[in-house]
Parts: sequence; C-alpha cells; structure tokens
Amino acid sequence: MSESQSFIQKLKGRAADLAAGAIFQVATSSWNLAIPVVLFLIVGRCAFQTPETFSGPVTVDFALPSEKAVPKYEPAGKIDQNDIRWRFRYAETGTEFRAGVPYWIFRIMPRLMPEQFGGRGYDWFGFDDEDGEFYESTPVPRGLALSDSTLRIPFLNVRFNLKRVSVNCAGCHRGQLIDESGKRRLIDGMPNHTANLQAFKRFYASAFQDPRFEGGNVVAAINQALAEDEKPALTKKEQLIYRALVEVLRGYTRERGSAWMDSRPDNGPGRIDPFNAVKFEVLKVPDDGTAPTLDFPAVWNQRSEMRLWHHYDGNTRDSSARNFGSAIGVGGIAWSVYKHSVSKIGDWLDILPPPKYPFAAPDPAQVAQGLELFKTRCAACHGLYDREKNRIDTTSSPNYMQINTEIGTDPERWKAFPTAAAGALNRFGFEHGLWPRDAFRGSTNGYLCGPLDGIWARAPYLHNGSVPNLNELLKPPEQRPKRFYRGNPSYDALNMGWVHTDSARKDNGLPLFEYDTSLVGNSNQGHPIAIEDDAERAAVLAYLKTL
Amino acid sequence: MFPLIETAIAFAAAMLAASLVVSGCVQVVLSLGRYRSRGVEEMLLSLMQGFRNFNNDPAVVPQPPPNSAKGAPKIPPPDPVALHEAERAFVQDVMTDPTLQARGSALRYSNDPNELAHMVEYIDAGDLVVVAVSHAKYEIGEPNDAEMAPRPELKLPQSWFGVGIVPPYFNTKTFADYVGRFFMTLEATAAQRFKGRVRQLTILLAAILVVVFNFDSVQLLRTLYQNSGVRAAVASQAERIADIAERSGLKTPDAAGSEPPTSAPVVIEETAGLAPSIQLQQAASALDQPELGIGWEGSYIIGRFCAYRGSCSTPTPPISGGQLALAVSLWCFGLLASCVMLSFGAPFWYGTLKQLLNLGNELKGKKVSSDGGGSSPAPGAGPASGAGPVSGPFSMRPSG
Repeated sequence: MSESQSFIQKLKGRAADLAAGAIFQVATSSWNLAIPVVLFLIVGRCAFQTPETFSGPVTVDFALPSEKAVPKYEPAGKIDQNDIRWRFRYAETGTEFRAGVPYWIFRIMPRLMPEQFGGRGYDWFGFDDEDGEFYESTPVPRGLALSDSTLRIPFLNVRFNLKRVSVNCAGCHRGQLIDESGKRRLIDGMPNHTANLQAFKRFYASAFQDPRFEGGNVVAAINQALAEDEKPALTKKEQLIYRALVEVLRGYTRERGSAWMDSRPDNGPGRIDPFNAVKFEVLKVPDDGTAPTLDFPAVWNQRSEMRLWHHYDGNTRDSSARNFGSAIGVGGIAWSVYKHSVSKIGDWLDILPPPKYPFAAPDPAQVAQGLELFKTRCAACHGLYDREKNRIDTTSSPNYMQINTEIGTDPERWKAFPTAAAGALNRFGFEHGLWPRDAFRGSTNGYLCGPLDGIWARAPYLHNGSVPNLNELLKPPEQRPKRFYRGNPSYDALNMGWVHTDSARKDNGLPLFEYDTSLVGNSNQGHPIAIEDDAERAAVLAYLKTL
Repeated sequence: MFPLIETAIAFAAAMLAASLVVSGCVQVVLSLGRYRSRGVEEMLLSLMQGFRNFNNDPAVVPQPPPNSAKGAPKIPPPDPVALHEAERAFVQDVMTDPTLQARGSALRYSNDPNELAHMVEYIDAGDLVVVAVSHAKYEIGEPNDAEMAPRPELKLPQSWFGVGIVPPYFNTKTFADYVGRFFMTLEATAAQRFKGRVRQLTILLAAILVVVFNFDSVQLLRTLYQNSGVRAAVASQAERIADIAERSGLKTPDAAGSEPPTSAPVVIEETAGLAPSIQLQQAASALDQPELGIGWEGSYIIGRFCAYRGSCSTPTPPISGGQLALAVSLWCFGLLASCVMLSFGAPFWYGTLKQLLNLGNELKGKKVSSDGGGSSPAPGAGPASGAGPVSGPFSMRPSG
C-alpha cells in the first residue's frame, strides 16, 4: 500500500473512530430518550397523514410507463386470490428477486435470438398455454409467474415496481397430459414432465453474454413489442434504465450461474438438479462432480402420515425445509422467499389427493389379481394405498419410509448429499431463520421407499426418470430401453407412462429429448423386482391404475 | 393446551424474540463502534492518570508556587497537550502490543495501529505489567528474556511520560505496585460504567425499534388471545426461540446435584455465543408471522387511521374523532408497554418462557394421562421413525 493510500486509510479510520465515539456519547447521554420520542412524533405524523403509504409494502416505484403497458391477466371469471389453487399456479414464491427476468426483456428474447427458440416462443422450453380455468389469457406462459419483486425483511416488505418473470410452484409441479380425445389437461401436483427448466436457465445465462443482447437492440425490440400492443414507445428515461439493466444482466456471467451444468449430462424436460444448484450457487461449496439429476416429484399427499420423510433420499422431514428449500433451489434468496404464501401452499399439498386415472377403467378381476400380487411383491416397501380414504396402510410394510441401500438404482443422487452438504444447508437455513438447524440429514446412502399414490401420473420412473413406464419397470433391468424420448404429454395407457418412442410431439411438432441411460446419473438399473409373467404384470398394472 | 397458557407462552416467546433482536442490534452497534475496546482504552487512560496523580507528578498535579503564602493559587501543569499525547502513547503501545494480538490480526493491521488497537477488548493486571516491562526493556535495548519482573531501575518509556526528564517514580516497579493495588478497582469501575452505558444503549435501541417496527405489545397480546391460529403458530416457535436464546449465550448456571429453591429467580449469565447478526436474523424471522400485527403493514393503528381518513384502498367503516383518540391512546400505551417490557431484558423473558413451557408440558402430560394412557396411532399411519430392521438394506439411520 502506498504512503498516500495508507494516510487516507488512517484518516478514514480516525473519522470513523470519532463518529463512533460521538454516536456512543449521544446514545448514552442523559437526554438520549428524546431520540425515540422525536422519531415517534415524526413517524406517527406521517402514518396519520398518509396511512395508505403504511398500509402496504414500501414501494420503490421507478415510474416507468412501460410497466403500465405490460399485458394484463384477463380473468375468465371472478378471481379469488385466496383460492389456494390460484396461489399455487400464479403467485410468486420469491424466486423473482434473484432469478426473475424483467418482463419486457423476457418478451423480446424470442425476436432477438429466434434460433435459440427453434423459431418458436417459450413453448420451446415447455412453457406453454394455460387451460383457461382462471384466465382467458395470460401475459406469461403457464409455470411462470409475473410479479413485482419483493424483499421480505422481517416486518418490512420492500416492493420494486418492475415486473419480472420467474418460475413458481406450477413450473415444476403442474403437469399436462393429452387424453384419448386429444384434450389437454393440466393437473396440480403432477410433475411438469414437459418443461425443460435447465434449458430455460441455460438460455438466459448465455443470452446475456450474446453480442445481440446490447442496449440499442433491446430498446429497439421493446419498442417494437410496445407498438404491436399499441402502447407508447419507451421514454428517454426508460431507454436509459433499460440500457443500464442490460449492462447489469451482462454482468451475470455463466461462471456465476449455470456453468457447472456443462460437465454433466443434460437434464431434459421434467428433470432438474436442485441440490447441486443450491450447493454450488447458494452455499458456494466446491464442485464435487456429482450428477444427481432427478425427475420432478409429484407433490400430493405430503403430510407426515403419508410421507414422514421427503426427497428421494429421505433427507428431511421438516416441512419448512421442504417448502422453502424448493424456492431457494429455483432462485430464491433468504429474504425474498414468500414464506407465508409458500407455507399455505405447503399446507394444501399436505392434503391434496392424487388425480384419478383418467383413461378407461381397468378390469376389476385383473385389479383384484393385481392387488394380491402387489401385497406379496410390493407392499412391504410401498404400503397399501387406499384411494377412497386417501390413506396408507403400512401394517404389513416394515420397509415403508425406510432407506433402501441395496435397491441398486443410480447412486449419483444420494452421493451428492453427504453429511457435509447437509450441514452446510442446515447452517444456511438456520442462520437465515428458514428451517431448524437439524432439518437435513446427509449420507443416507440410499433411497426412500414411498407410497404409490397417483403412480400412473408420475412417469417416467425411478428417481432419475430413467424408465419410461411401469411396464418396463416391472421387467428385469437389462430389458429396459437404453434410450427413449422424454417430454411427450400423450399417454400410453397400455404400458402406463408417456409415449416414449416418438421423436416429436404430435400436437405441436416440438422435438422431444432423447434420454440416454448410459450417461452418468442416468442409469436405469436397480429396483430388480421383475414380474416375468405378462399376465401377472398386466394385473399389477391394472391395480396400479386404481391408486 | 389451555388457551391462556398458550397465549402466555406465545407472548413470552414473542417478547424473548424481540429482546434478542434488541440485544443483537446492541451487539452489532458495540461491535461496529468497537466500544468494548474503547472501554479498555478509557480504563488504561484512567490508570495512567491515577498513577501519575498518586505519585504527585508535577506534570499532572497542580503544584503550589514556591515560597508562597497559604491559599495562593497553585501552578497548573505546564503542558496539557503533551500530557494527553503521552497518555495516548501509553494506551496505544499497550493496545497494539503484539503479545495481546492474534497473529493474523497483527499482520493484517500492521499499517493501521488504530484498527489493531480495537482488536483488544480485555486486559488483566498481570499482562499489563508484562507489557510495560517489555516496552521499558525495548526502550533501553535490553532483550526480552525470561526475566520480566519489574525493577526500580527499569524506567517506563519516555513517550509515556512526555516532555521533560522522567522522574524517579516513573519506573516499572512503582507502576507494577500501583497496578497491583488499584487495577481491580479501576477495572470494576470501568466495567460498571460500560455496563451502565450499554444498558442505556439497549433501552434507546429498544425504544427506537419499538417505534420503527410499531411493536405494540398490547395489540400483540390481544391478537394472540383472540386468534388461535396465530397463537398456535407463535407458540410452536417457542422452543426454537428458546434455542436461539441459548445459542446466543443465555444459559442457566449449572445446578448439578442440587434442587434450586423454587422461590429463587433463574439466574442467567451472558457468555459469548451466536454471532450478533445471525442472532438478529433468526430472532426476527421467528417473530415474522403474518397476522401477528407487528410492523406497519396491516397493523391495528394503520387500520384506524385508514378508517378515520378514508384514504386507503381497502374500505373500512369510518370512525369518529373520539374513537381515533382512544385508538391512538391505546397505541401509545402499547408502545410504551413494549419499551418497558423489553427493558426487562432477554434473560428475564428466557426464564419466563422456560417456566411457562415447563408448566405447559406438565399440564399436557396431565391431560394425556387423564385421557387414558396416550393416543393410539391413526389407522394407516406410517411407522414411527426407527421402526423396521436396523440391519440389512433398510434402515432409518444414515451411515457416515
């Protein structure tokens, strides 16, 4: 350090010293209580004169006319925002603060970089249209929430009036199927097996570094979009703000975000690697090379009576860890997680029953035969689910909710969450008041034996989604397909899974993702409970359709 | 659990959490301003001034003029500025002595003596004498060998005296004797003064936080009593808040082998524990329950203001001036009550919460036994954790 720098540092230190001393003197003087009294009079007067300012969150309003030009959600009827299904599908969860994309930038990306979207829109990533139950039209596709971003410091919410697009609960856990009549259905709690969140995240990480993503281009594209909506163009102030925003986003380098994904096989639609995302991006743990990509789970019946432990490796039984951890894993920060809303959603998911099998009902005789086979071959681990009462009978299931360390399925998932990682995650959550200090346990060295409620809707199978349907799962592992296509919403009722042989969707022509079981983390081996006899296997499948 | 007990537990938990927030803020302020080290500095200054006063040093104590009549005004010390510089030199040398610093700090702040001095928050009499002897020996070029005993011929450093010839009393032996005799009193005085100022700071910060965050304890109590959902949510956090308090350094003394007398108050000592900023975050998060009424958004008084002015987006039935005056009075009383209750301190609320939790558990135990020996598991419920074979592929206990 040079002499002048050292002198300046000493001067700063001395000034800070004097200031600190003065503050302490004032704070401990005999008239110090005048300070809160004066503060009370000022704050009280403001609260009395403008109570509307105090009745909502503190709002940082950039006063951008383009924010008023953001297309609205057009309701199909009366919307009750206390309807928990509305909250699950459309409310923000707090991921928007760190990971939300400003709406107008989100809007113009397909026109700035059309080849990244296959010449389409966000349906390229599996974010497609809503079903019209709540809204006739929405400004963002399903699975994404549009909201201002809010910092939720205890007792002080600070809202920034800049609409941003982010993934919410429905992004991972509201799935779609196309039924026999060709009608599209969306089901709450079902894995969103057609959405490719990794591709979406990767796109933005690289798009922000693309030379086309520069201030002039962005402003021009936004003006074009505004003109299409018959709204005024950006003002000079807005142009400056968006240019500055572009520079900020360009600073979001891939190394900071998704570069760790490059050394691992692609996830494909319906799969995600949330624990590594948290480990490397949030906890800053060094990359351990694991590839624990897993299938989005179904999230119905989460109550402890049915699921005492959560996640494929049974690493927690704390509901706040489960709920808030999900938000953190998809881009939330501790002070942005919308705990109140996410907790309410969590409470609802505790009791949400699984969807009924929507296709032709199975033959009752086959179902009865399948039940007997299930009792002898499967119930010891999976329990007996009673759909009518929505409860599980585990009286003959000694292995239910136990960790199976010899099931032989791909080990990357349990290897990725050792005790050290659990400790780091516990520390993070405990320090930020998110979950208890012993919420997570690591090194379970296996996978949880869980219930099969709504199993028909949870394809593909095994924790990494490596087996396309239940029929294949109940064959010897070496007979299972080595490669298949993922992301097709058309259902194969015979084999109980999504159609996996087409390379493109029939409904909209979207190319599908080819899953390769030879890649690390993608193994389809394990769970060698084979039912070799075709008739018996068909009977078990018939029974499973009733769950 | 009886609603009253649950309300009491929830209220005590909320007050404990609020106290922890206040305490965390105080620790952050003390840490930012390095006030503990300032306390040590003040004590050392007092000590040096006392040492020179005690030895009737003419540079410090006003002297009577020579051959003067009785009652004639005394001659003041010659150079107060030089005196002050000398005293500061003493404090600086002691506070930056490497023997009191961690190696990392000494290296990091080697160019910034002020910052280095702020690392020291405590010194004892023996160490002070050793540091003085070490500096005295360094001044005359004597090596720092095993012989660190103070001696009359080993003078304290010139820079600690200031301008002029160092008088005979200004040596390590006299200094050591003075320290041995008066250090405990000076230290205790400084500690009491520091504690008093910290208490003042705590009350001030508590009052500021009560105002800034609209912490109305009367409304809080009312909400907890009337709203069973909020009450249960806060009461369920009670153990966690007590845990945060324990990790922050609040603990009961060890009562090994003896039953504490039931009438004796719970004595809590504060020790080093959770970092203040983490304590703050956790306590604040524990209190951040929706509908609890803490904060401004959705608070009772804002609702009343909105009703009076009719200016808020959520429609509310209008109220009269008299009703508003009553609401404001209750609000002011609630804020004042919060300040008073927070001034009891975290140890008080911790002890109260622990006692209420014990009472609640006792009552719960009595209720369960009067219901007929415990509840049976619901049909179809999963096995309790740990059920099933503990060997083989299935286990609840993770390895490693």
